[in-house]
Amino acid sequence: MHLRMAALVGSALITFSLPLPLGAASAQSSPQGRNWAEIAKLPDWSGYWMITREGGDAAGAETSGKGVPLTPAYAKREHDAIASNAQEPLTYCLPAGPIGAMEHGLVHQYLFTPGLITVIMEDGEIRRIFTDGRAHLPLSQLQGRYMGDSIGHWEGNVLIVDTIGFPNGSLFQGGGLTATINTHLVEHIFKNNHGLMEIDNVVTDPAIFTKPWKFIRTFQRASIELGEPGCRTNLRDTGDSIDLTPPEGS
Amino acid sequence: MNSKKLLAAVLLYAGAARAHHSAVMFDHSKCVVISGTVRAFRFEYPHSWLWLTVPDKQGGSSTWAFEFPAPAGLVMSDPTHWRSDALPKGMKVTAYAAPMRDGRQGGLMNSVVLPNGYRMHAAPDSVTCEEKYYGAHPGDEVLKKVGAP
Repeated sequence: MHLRMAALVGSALITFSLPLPLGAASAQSSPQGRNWAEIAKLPDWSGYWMITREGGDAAGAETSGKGVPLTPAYAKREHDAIASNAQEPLTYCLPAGPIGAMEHGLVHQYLFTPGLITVIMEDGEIRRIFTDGRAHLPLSQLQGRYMGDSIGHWEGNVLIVDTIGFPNGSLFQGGGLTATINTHLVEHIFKNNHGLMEIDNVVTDPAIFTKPWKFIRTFQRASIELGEPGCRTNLRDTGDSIDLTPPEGS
Repeated sequence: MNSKKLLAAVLLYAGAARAHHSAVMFDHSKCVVISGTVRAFRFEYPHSWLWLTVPDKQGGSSTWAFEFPAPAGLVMSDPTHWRSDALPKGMKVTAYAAPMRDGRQGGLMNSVVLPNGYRMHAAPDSVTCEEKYYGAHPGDEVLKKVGAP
């Protein structure tokens, strides 16, 4: 089966295996945000969002591959990476990708425009989620990507995002491991009954996981502004060296 | 002492620890207490930083540098007090931190005490580093104090 087709079929199967969050409705009856009138009917996701203290469910709060259904080969890779004190891409202000950015808990903001939801991260990364009904790009055009290709649609107040093609995106803390070209992410994003932004994730990749990796992450509205994207200019600690020099002029 | 738990408690975001990187350059078994005057404070991603001018016994002074979590991590710890202008230049404060392993004058901040005695924690747990590092193992290390009390 063509990889792109496999991703879409896999997405459908996974979607049906998850309990639908409250407020979920069919895609047919839901506004998709393809024009300003439809956007006015979408839920209010304004403001800035930061990770909650709990981080999500137990699986979502985990910061390493521990507890993740890794294949023996990837379990060894992760063990070796931790043993060698491997650093996250974010350590060097490299992009983290859709899983790594949320795992890190980056403060972020959602911007709704017709057919497109843009997610701006505090490290300067930008994620585009297309809601205009387009299909995925072929994987052959997504080599070397960090954020990949994200297609979203609304089912009531729930945004369902299907992402492929982020082989350079990081997976989780502590191991420095990245996805592969075949890693597939499906997210259900919605404001839950506690007013938190909840992201229910299912990640599949036969090379990395023995079964779908399911976890939840939760975010709360932040009381701080999204700062300037100054990761590189502010970077003083790269994990293996620290510059203690005071700021010029201080 | 479980260094992984210290990492989660000190450098990183709360609960679900979110390391920007490992913190092996800091000695998490020690706690230094440094009193001085704020030279600069940066409330920013990927890490916040504080530089203190610290007097020495010879009448001179030197600079100490302390690393904090990014603003979101600090706000999670103390949403009322952590702001970009929380530590203005010239303010006299006392810093509690895990020192650099290489002996340079720097550390990973645990908490900072303001002139009015209020302690701002760098991590959501309210345990101070002197309690954290010495409470379980009293006498294991010598608490190092630098600068005016």
